[in-house]
Formats: sequence, structure tokens, C-alpha cells
Amino acid sequence: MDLVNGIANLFSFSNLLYCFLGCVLGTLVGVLPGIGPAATLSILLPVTTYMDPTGSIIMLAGIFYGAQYGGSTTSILVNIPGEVSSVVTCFDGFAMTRQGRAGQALWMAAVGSFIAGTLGTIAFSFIGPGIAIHALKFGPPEYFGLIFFSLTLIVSLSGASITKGLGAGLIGLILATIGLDPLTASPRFTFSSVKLMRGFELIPVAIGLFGIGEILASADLGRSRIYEGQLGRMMPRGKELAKGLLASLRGTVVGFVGGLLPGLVPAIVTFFAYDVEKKCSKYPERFGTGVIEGVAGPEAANNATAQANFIPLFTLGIPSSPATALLLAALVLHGLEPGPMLFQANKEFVWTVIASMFIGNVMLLILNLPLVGLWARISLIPYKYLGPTILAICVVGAYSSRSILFDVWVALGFGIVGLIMRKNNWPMAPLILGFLLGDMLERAFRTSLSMGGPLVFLTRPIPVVFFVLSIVVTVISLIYLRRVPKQVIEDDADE
Amino acid sequence: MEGILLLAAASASMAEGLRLASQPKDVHIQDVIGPGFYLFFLGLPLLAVSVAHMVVSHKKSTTEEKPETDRKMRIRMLLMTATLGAYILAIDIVGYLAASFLFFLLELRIVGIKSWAKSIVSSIAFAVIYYLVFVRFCNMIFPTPVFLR
Repeated sequence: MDLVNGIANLFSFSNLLYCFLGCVLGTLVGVLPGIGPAATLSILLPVTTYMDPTGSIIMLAGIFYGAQYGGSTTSILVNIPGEVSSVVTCFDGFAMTRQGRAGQALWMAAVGSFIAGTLGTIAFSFIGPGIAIHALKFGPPEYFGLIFFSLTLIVSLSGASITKGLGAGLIGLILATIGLDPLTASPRFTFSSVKLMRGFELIPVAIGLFGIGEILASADLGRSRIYEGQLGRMMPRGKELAKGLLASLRGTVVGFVGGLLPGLVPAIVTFFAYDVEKKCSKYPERFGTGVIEGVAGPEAANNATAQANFIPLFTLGIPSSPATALLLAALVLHGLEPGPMLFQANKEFVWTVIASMFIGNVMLLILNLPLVGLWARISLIPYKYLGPTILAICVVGAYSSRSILFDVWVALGFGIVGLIMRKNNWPMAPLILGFLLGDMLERAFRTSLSMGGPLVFLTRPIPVVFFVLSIVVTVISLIYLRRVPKQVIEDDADE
Repeated sequence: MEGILLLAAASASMAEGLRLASQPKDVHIQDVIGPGFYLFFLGLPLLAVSVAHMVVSHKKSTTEEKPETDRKMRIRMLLMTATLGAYILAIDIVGYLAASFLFFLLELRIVGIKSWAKSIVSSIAFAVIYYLVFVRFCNMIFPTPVFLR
């Protein structure tokens, strides 16, 4: 019934338009290498303050899961992953292109993504409210355990160097303390500056790190390689089709479970899904030579992870990645408190967004199949035209946060930090995650201690479960980090 | 160098934490740890990480060669960064529209658009579009130019 109401609310001109706009922008962002959903969300976040909350979240969510569709296009056609989570698709996708089967690879990637996106949304509809009810039992110690568990994401996001990731994460937590202390209003790191007493806002920091930093680092990249291949037949047939569809279903399960855990980033989940396909295949040695399961499985996992990421975000207010961290910021900006109360107090909003995901997946299928040639050409626009345009948008975005130029200077400062971090292979995602979760972590920690001292974390079952899960996820991440190529891990740390 | 920066951040956190902890506490607030000790405790793991990083980096620097930096790319990046800084200053002095025109003009030249005519026309077009979208349509209020105050 709630879903039916959600669908009814969605079918207004403005909501459908925002959904379509999000899907188009998401596909565009996915196709363009070097510009990820996190950068796009950070740039568009301030613009959404002028929109109604439902429409803005529909659009931003569309960008997030739409980018997963678009990322496979350039992976398959020109062996350049549009998104880090589409790296695995290059292995067999580009091999299929060289065999003149690009059309089939693109068809399977789009259909696999659609299957995963739709099934993932259905699962969200059933699982989400259930988790929300249990989350009502959470107090400060439980929230501390949950946020601590989320911080295990830092290990996955650390890239090849755990010390750099931990260092960046801890610095993010320290940056979050700048300003007035949340419980006693004591000034910290303000140096008697009135502007620093309010601390740094998330939008300028995110725009600086992901937007300005990316453009400065990519200043001289001009991708002028022209795609001249033939797409060939679009739809696979017979056994090929059956194998692809089965791989999509397996990838959906793998991706959805992985997406529920804040500690596993999409790139690692897609490698895991590729591994599963190899293990399920009678001919694992053929992977890498143009096997359709090598495209279908990871692409489905990719999209299922994106849908599953919404569950901890909406029900518990915990982001699973930098992009979902920005979605969290969007929810807060619009006065929507993510967590168990979101399903109670803003039921109409939640079910409208869920309904938009169903429709959004249909739109994305339509956008990605017939228009694939167009997306391939857009991906070749040189940075010399895109760069200044995006920098100017970053300035506006940072300024719109509080309408003060100080925030733009903060964005520029963090842009320089982001540039230096990129050049020295420092992951930025742990820094932004630490910054975002720092305030919540501190409040939960200090409030919990005042409830019952340090033992309060060990005498309540839920925090203990989260601490154990933190250890398990950290160990799994460390094991898979050893098996994934180093460059992929470093690139993924920035997405 | 990276380890030293991490060490500096850890030291700053611990120093600020100790400074706050030494201030008199409000007895009515039930806050066991306080703002100071939380910062201090954040600094401790960062201190450990900085030492670990220095050890790991030292081992790697003896075995790995650093890639050569592209001087032309570095100059371009520095110019783009400086132009961005000048843009922010210019917004406060000459207003958003004029500052945007100058920004696009300089940036397009820096990124390699050689034709002055193309640069000027493009800059005017971008500046006007951005002004119409963000100032007129989105009603964003930028600082008034100095000469109009």
C-alpha cells in the first residue's frame, strides 16, 4: 500500500522530470572517466537547496545509481572504465568489443544492471522498514557501535597503504572537531576567528576535495581517442543469453549482500562477483577472453550494491561510500533526519524515492541501450572545455552553502589538499568519511560514557555485535585488498 | 615528509586537547571525557599511525624510484589554481559577472585555447549563462562590487 502511494506521488511532472534528469546526469557522469558520482553530487548538492526535498533526493539518487549504468559503456567500448567499479567489466567487455560483439556486451551490461537494480529495489522495499523498526531500539551506545563499524570502511578505502588511509581518516575526524564543541560549546582550533567557530561545512570540503582537486589534477588530460568500432548485434541469443541472465542473478545476490555492509566498497564487491562467476563456470580459463558472464555478473553486482547502499543510509543514517555520504548530507540539508524515524515521520517521502528507483531503472535501460553511441562520443570531450566550466560551478556550489566567500576559500584550500593527496597517492575517501561521521561519533561516544562509563559498550549486545562485525569486515577487506590490483584500489579510494 | 605532517597533526590535536582539558570544567555538565580529552585520544592513534607510516615510507623509499614530474603540467596546474584564487578575490571587488568573464578568459587561455576571439566570445557566453542561471534564476546573492558600495 505504501509503495502504491509512493508510485502515485512519483507520477507528478516535477518528480518524473527530476528522476529523468538524475538518470541522464548519472549516465553522463558514469561515462566520463575521472568525474565520479561523488564529485557530481558535491557540486549539485547546493543547487538542490532550491528544490523540494523529494525531488532533490530523487535526482541525486538517480545520479548515484545511474552512474553505475554509464560506467560500463566506456569500459566495454574503449577499455577505459568510466567508474572505478566498472574496471572489472573491461576484462571481458573490451575483449568482446575486439571480437565485434560490443553490442552484446553493452546489452548484457544494461539488462544485467536493470535486473539487479529492480530486484535490489524490491528487496529494499521489504527489508528497509523492518530494519527501521529495530533501529528504534538504538541509543547512543548502539549508534556509537554502528558508526564505529562504518569507520571500518576506511580500511577498504585506504588503497594500497593502510597507514595513509588511517591517517587520512583520523585527520578527517580531527577536522570535524574544528569549531564549537557540540556538548559544551568550547572553541576548538578556532584561533579566535569568528568564521572558524562554525567549523567547516561539508559542501565546501567535499567540493574542494572531489571537484576542484579532481579538475586541477586532470588539467592537462585530453582524451581524444576516437571510437571507430562497430557495435554489431545487440542481443545475445540461446545459451549465451541464458548464461548472461543467470550471471546477472548471481551478481545481484552478491552485490546486494555486499552493499548492506558499510565496510565493502563497490569495486571490491565487483571483483568478488567476477570471482564467483569464474568459480561457477565450467571453463574458468576462458575468463578475460570475452565471456559474457564476466560482464553480466560484475555489472549486476555493481548495481545491486548501489541499491543496497540505500538501506543503511535511510534506515540507520550510515553512509557506505563518499557518494552516499553526500546523499546523507542532502537528507540533512533538507531537514530529513535519516534513521528509523525517517520511515515513520516521512513515510511518503521514503516510498516516493523507492518508487522512483523502479522507474529510474526503466529509464536507465532505455537511455543506455538505444543511445549508447551518443554516450560513447560524449566521453571523448577534452578536459580543456570541461575543466573551467566545472571549476566555476564548484565556486558557486561552495558559495551557496552559507553565502560567504570564506567557504569558497575553504573549497579552494581543500582542492589544493585534494590535488596534493592525489599526486602522493593518499586516499581522500577516508578523510571525507571521517569528517562526516566525526561529529556523530563524538556525540554518541561522550553521551554513552556519561550514561554508564566505558563498560556501557560491552554490556549491551548491539554495540558488541557491531564491534565483532567491524573485525570481520576489516579482515575480509584486508584479504581482498591483497588480491585486487594495486592501481584499482588506489583509484577506488577516491570514488 | 608525510610522516612528519601526520606527526604535526597528531601533536596539534594532543596539544589542543590538553589545553582544553586544563580549563575549569562546568560541574553541571555530565560529560566524563570532555572536549579536551576526546581530542587528545584522537591524537594518540594518529601519533602511532604517523610513526608506522614513517617506518613504512622509509623502507619503500630505499626500494622504489619516484616518477619524474612533468614541469609543463605543474605550471599549468599552478596557473589554474592561482586563477581560481584571483577569481574568488575578484568576485568581492568587481562583482560576479565581471569576475566570471575574467576567470573564463584566463582559464581558457591557460588550458590551451589559442584564439583570442574564441576565448573572448566563449568567456562572455559562459559568464552570461552562469549569471542568468545562478543569480537570476536561482536568486543567489553575491557581494556587491566595491565601486558600487
